[in-house]
Formats: sequence, C-alpha cells, structure tokens
Amino acid sequence: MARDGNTGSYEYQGMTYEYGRGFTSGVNRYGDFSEQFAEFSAGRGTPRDSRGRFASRAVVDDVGVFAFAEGLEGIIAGSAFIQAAKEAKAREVRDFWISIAPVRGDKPPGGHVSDETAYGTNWPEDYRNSIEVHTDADGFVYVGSDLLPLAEWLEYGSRHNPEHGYGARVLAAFNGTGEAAQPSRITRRSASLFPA
Amino acid sequence: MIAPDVEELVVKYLSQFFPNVGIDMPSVPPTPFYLVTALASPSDWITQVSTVSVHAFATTHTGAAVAGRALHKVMNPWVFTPKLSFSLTSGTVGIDRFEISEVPAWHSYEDPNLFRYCGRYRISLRVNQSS
Repeated sequence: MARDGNTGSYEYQGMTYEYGRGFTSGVNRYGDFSEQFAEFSAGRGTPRDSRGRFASRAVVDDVGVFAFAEGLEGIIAGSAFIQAAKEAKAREVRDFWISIAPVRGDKPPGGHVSDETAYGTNWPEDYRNSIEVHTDADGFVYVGSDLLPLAEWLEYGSRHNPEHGYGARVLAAFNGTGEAAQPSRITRRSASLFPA
Repeated sequence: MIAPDVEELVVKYLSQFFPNVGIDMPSVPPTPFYLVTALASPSDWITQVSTVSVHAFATTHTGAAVAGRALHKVMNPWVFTPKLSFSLTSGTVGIDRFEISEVPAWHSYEDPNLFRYCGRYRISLRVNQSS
C-alpha cells in the first residue's frame, strides 16, 4: 500500500506500476528496464544528497519530464527510466563509433609490437576497445576514449598523423551539436560525446 | 551541380583577419598559423553539411590560447548570416547554417615546439547556389 492509501497496480506503457513499490517490471521500446526498476525498488537506484533530495532529479529536469506517473515516486521512476534510456542510446553511439574506429595498419610502430607504450598495450585494437560508455555519479552519460594521447592524436591529428575526427563524425552521424549539450562537457575529454 | 569548397571558404574568410591561413602547414610554420581541415561530411545534393576544424598554432601555449581566442571571436554564428556571401572558384556561396561544435581548446600535437588550439564548426552550404 502506498502512503496515500492506494493499493494494487496498473500498466503504464507496457510496464507494471505497483503502488508503494514503484515500477516492478518494465519492457518497452527502449529495452528491458526490469533491472533498473529492481534497483530502484531496493532503494539503490536513486542517490540522495545530504538533505535527502534526489540527486537524479536534475536528470529529469534536463529532459523536461516531470510527472511520469504521479507524485514523487513518479518522478523518481521517471528519472531511472530516463537514465536507462540515455545509457541505451549511449551504447548505440558507442557501437557506431567502434564500427568506424580503426585498428592499427600493417606497419608495426617502431617494431616494438610487444612493448607497452604511450599508445596503450600496443595491441592493434587498443583504440577501438577504448571507446566506452561512461556514467558519472550525477547521472551524466557520455561516450569516448580515455586512451590518451593516442585518442587525441587520432581525433585532432598530430605532427605525425592526419586529423581523422572519428568523434566528430559520430557526433555528426547522430545529429549532435555543441549547442544541445553543455559545451564544456563536450570538450572535457579528448574525444567524448554527449549523446542524450 | 556546383559544389562549394568549404575549406576555400573558411581560408578566404579567415585571411581577412589573419596573415597565415592555409590547408597546408609548413613543418616550421610562421606563427600564429591557422590550419583549416574539412572532415568527412555528407552532402544530399541540396545542402552540404561540412564539419571543419580550424587549428591555431603558436610556439607557446599562451600564444596558442590567444590565437584560439582571436579565432573564436571571428568564427561565430552572428557573423555568418545568409546575407553574407563569398566569391569562391565555384561561384558565389552563402552559408545556410553555422554551428559551433567545439570552441577552441588545447589538444596535444606531439610536437614540443608547437602548441595547438582546435575549434570545430559545422557549416551548411547550398550545393547548387551560384549567381
């Protein structure tokens, strides 16, 4: 039973909402969110600040969604839902980025194929495998490579390499701009992208 | 079809303000040097949506920052209005849309003697525009 005395459950966009428990199952066109809802119901999915306010409220505000179901619980469930949707979108972006990312060509750099270098472990797939989805504690989701400086040289070019701009091409392919997101976040990492 | 060259446009525009602008950079460039590079971009035969990088090089980090700031001052959406047109080798072109993808920021150039700030812009040009 919820605090307001409601009992039972209802369906919302293919997902089950139980009064007093929130969303308990969820499969919709963005994917299966049952796991997130279980986390939410267990009280782990919604970090709070020292005053007990829900930190992920900012995520909801960002996308302009407030009343997902009803009352406070609706907002919390909505933010978990949006967070999961953002991460699903980020994985889509990551997969596209990986699809255009190069592996090393047919010439080993300097002949030291087995040594670990500034390029990483010096495996041909180092750059491609370094493209990952990152989620910050405040719910910020972005995609990019932390393999510096190689990722930066591939993205912007260097004395020895032309500018390939893989990240910029991903951004263009997903119709992303610097205006829609927070510009400072876009350039925070060498080749990161704010997808959703 | 008359396809405008976005690199030519940016070089021509920046040359109004800066002496050393080009798409080729000598190994020891005069500084500050502005290197213009168009990235792989789509065109639908009506609009060419080009992503362009402009690299501002200088011999010190501060010099590159100053050059990047000067670049940012002239590469902005308020400058590029549809009223503004440029005479290129392909004819006269105007800019349909101008977006800043990345403001100039420092990025490693793998060269201890050159410091680089890179800004990125998305510039939409009308493909068959000529008059």
